[in-house]
Amino acid sequence: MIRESRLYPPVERHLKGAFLVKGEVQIGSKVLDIFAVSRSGRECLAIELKVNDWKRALKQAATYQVFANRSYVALHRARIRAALKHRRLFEQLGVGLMSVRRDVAIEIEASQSSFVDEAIVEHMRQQFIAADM
Amino acid sequence: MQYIWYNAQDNYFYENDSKHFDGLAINAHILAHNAKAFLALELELRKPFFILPDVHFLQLYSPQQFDNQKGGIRISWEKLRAYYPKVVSKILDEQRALSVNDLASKEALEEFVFKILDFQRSALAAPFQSLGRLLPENARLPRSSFLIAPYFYFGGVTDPWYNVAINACVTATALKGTDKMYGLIFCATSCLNPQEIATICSGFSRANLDGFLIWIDEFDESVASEEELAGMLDLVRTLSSYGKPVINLYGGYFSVMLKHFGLDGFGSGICVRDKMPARPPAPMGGPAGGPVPRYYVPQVHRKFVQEDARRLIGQLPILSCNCEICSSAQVLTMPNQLPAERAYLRRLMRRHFLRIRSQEVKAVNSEAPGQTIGNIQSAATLVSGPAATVYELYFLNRWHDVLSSNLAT
Repeated sequence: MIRESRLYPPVERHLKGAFLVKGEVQIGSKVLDIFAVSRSGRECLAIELKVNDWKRALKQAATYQVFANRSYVALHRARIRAALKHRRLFEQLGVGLMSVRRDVAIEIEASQSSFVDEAIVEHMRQQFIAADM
Repeated sequence: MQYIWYNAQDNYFYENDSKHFDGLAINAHILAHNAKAFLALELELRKPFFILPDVHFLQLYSPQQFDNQKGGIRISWEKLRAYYPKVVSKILDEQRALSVNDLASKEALEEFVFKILDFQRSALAAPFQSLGRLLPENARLPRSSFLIAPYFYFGGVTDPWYNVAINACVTATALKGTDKMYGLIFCATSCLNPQEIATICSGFSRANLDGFLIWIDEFDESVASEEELAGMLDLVRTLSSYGKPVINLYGGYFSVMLKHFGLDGFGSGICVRDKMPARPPAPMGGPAGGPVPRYYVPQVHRKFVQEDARRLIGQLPILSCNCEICSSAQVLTMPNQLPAERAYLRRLMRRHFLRIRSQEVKAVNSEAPGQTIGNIQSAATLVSGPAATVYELYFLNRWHDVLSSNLAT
């Protein structure tokens, strides 16, 4: 059985050149699997890791568009086909899709969120930058 | 008629928002423990109320419900057992569930029923007397709007508890005196099929009750299938055909709409408790600052955590609310991380809920059935597309389909 925690290291590796990455980040009533702030400080990403349930992940990732400029679902590659059948739904919502095994492939690019709360994003950005110094 | 389930921690709402609900419902063990506070509230509000005798805790016994975590019984149950029949003390001491055999003899059932009705009649009398001269001269002892016969959960009409439930209603009716006696149909969702509904309604109607209450085990209106929703509607309509009031103990907006099919009232908490499992969940501490606040989105008749509501309304700004609470506070963007922030936000969201629910009830009461059903269709159309898929709003279509097809029949 594949565990969700096994998806974290490849995604972290994929991002960490350009982003500061943290796991299990609480914002409001939500706990985001991965939250990342670009090293330039310009962009925040939210990523929901799931082994199986793409629909639940999509709902969570759509909500994370409130906290992040772009939001992704990261699914194990073995389960990606079911989600890809709903490519249009991902695109309509602007949520991206990553397939994860040892590496990460972007299957659907996330759109810039139009729901983002700049105050929250700025607060998270400051927290990440302070922690990195 | 909208009943709110009493919670001793909700006094703020009873004091400030009482015009937004019609009556109160209270669990017997909570009343036993908070009799003075509830009496004071009733003397102030003068709202209709009823007492649920909490027999389900005994029938579907679970030690966590009674355990005070110090090796004894919770104080509310200690107080209630003093009023309740001997068999209740016995089963609490033996830490076991009430069985059909405990009520097998006519005498045992009569004692059980008598004591349980007696509590509903007299629970407020002692605190009323103890207040004595503190009361205004014209103060009258508040009385429950109706008594509830002891009720028992049944999984179907062949369940032995089904007959006990009906016998308890028959016995209670014989003891009702000048009070009104209501019977509670407390059953599994699987009973919501035409054959069992007909048998159950006919069985309970023979008890010569003054009204009916309904509690379907964990019936979630926004998750229920079309068959289950249709079953609920059929149950309400059949019971209502006897010319007696029908009240759903736990319901949401679907119950509001069932007014058009004969439902006279329903209960819920304040933005909580619109469904209830037969087997009560084990009490446990939640997060600091209380449960996660949920925001009721009026046009889709469903509550969401703040972030989900914000995302949904971000996509569909037409769903924004302009009630007095939402107009004066940014409930969707307010901080929600610290316990105090969460508690404050939850209070605002619950005040918003009370206002909206009361508007919904008034609106449905003043509408023709076709108009209410048309509004649901409009809501379903409004949110169709990705939002409906992601936020699981297809229940609006199910509600519409069930109501409209039954309106035609």
